[in-house]
Amino acid sequence: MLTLISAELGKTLRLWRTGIGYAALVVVIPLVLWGLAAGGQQLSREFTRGLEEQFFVVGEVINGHTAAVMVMNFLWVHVPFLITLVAGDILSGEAVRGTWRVWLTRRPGRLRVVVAKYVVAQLYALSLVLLLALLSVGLGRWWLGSGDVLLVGADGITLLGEELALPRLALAYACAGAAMVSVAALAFWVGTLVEHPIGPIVGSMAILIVLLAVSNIPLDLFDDLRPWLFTSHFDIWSLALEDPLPWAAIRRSLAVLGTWTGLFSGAALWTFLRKDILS
Amino acid sequence: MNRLLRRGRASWFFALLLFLLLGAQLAQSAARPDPVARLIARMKRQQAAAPSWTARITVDIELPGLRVKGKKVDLRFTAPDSFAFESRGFALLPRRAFMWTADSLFAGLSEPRLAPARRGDPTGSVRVEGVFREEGLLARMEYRLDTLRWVVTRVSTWHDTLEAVRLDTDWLQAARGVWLPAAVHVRMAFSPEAQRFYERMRGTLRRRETPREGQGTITLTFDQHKLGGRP
Repeated sequence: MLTLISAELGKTLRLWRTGIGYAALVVVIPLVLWGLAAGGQQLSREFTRGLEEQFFVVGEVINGHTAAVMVMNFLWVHVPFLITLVAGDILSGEAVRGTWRVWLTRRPGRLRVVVAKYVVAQLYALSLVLLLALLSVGLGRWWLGSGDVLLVGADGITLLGEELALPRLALAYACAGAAMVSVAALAFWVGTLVEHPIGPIVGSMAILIVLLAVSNIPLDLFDDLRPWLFTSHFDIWSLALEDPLPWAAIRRSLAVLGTWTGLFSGAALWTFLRKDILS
Repeated sequence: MNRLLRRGRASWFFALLLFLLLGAQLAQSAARPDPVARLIARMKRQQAAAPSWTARITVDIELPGLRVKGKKVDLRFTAPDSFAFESRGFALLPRRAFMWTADSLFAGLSEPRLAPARRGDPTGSVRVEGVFREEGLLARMEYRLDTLRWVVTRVSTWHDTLEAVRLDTDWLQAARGVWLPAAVHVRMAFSPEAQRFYERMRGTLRRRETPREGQGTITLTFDQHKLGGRP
């Protein structure tokens, strides 16, 4: 199985589409950090302007940890689209290349092939989150220095002490990984339904756009539906930066994400194992 | 006839005496300031003798929309009323918590009056009440002054029947007659309207139940006090 996963991983990494995600992060994150280093003081002033009437504001807002949170804050919506590029293509790519019949009529068999491909799709999703973490925190600390973590989230502003920054950021990226795993599972499942890679990529993106809209549009109509959508829990990472840690909310979000990941994975397996590859 | 004249002189004499006594009383009360002004003046005299000092502050803020825990800030107070803060990284300190001097406490207060002490008020405490008017908004203020140490121990701001802000300050004696803050506790309450406004500003998905909706606390704990030096 490991050989199969390793072969599949090598094949996936050689595809130019795989490199798009990594390249996008390698370009965007340093650009954002450079922007924060150059214009951070202005941003800091704008942020504190509303607070100065009630508070004495001491020190600078922008540092490597806060910058990492800011990067995460605007990338958590976009990284899923990078994941669909690979996870959506990983099965349907074989179909369009016409390699399924060769693959699936010989050993190692459908189940092992689909599991290997699924593992690779998930590894890709997790590797994007890891790269995001390393670039944001590593470059951020090197460029902007370390400091407290400032989170401006749905529950307001949270300021975490510097000593908590690294463990909490690690937890935040782990939570983000759980969310991205559900995206990879969705794209993988959609990939089992069609024969052309554009289908699962566009299809997954369309599903994500619609569900993200439902999750974020403040209409009472969606209030009952919202907590059950996996897209409503994409910002689970921000809970890891709350103080005190809202474990109940984290567990609830992980349960929703885990359930959807399981459903998508099960559906992918069920569809693929019954797929007609001869016609 | 003589008796009548004597009686008339006596009446004039008493009227003159009464007039003189009343005049003296009026002159005396005009020269003496009202009791609140005297209290403030006394407090100012006490504070004028306060030295410069430094301390380390630990800031904990738990407000709807703002959370800060255990943030350390170095404070340098330069007499008579100048503050400077130093912090590693970013910090927020509520301005209200640093209103200790009589000038900053009572600036803009109108209709000040002494109020009767209440049950539970510490010995030596007096209450001062007044109002702040700002752009049509009215805030009723209550101050509890400790006349043994000449410090303010509680400031309450009322909007109608809601005690919007209560600020309690604990003091410690750093030297003979020198009282420095040991802790400041701020308790804030939000009106239902303010709370509804805040709720609308939140994200669409309530991820966390805040157990204390409608109120918040700020605690500043002072330690490492040093007269004249650095913490």
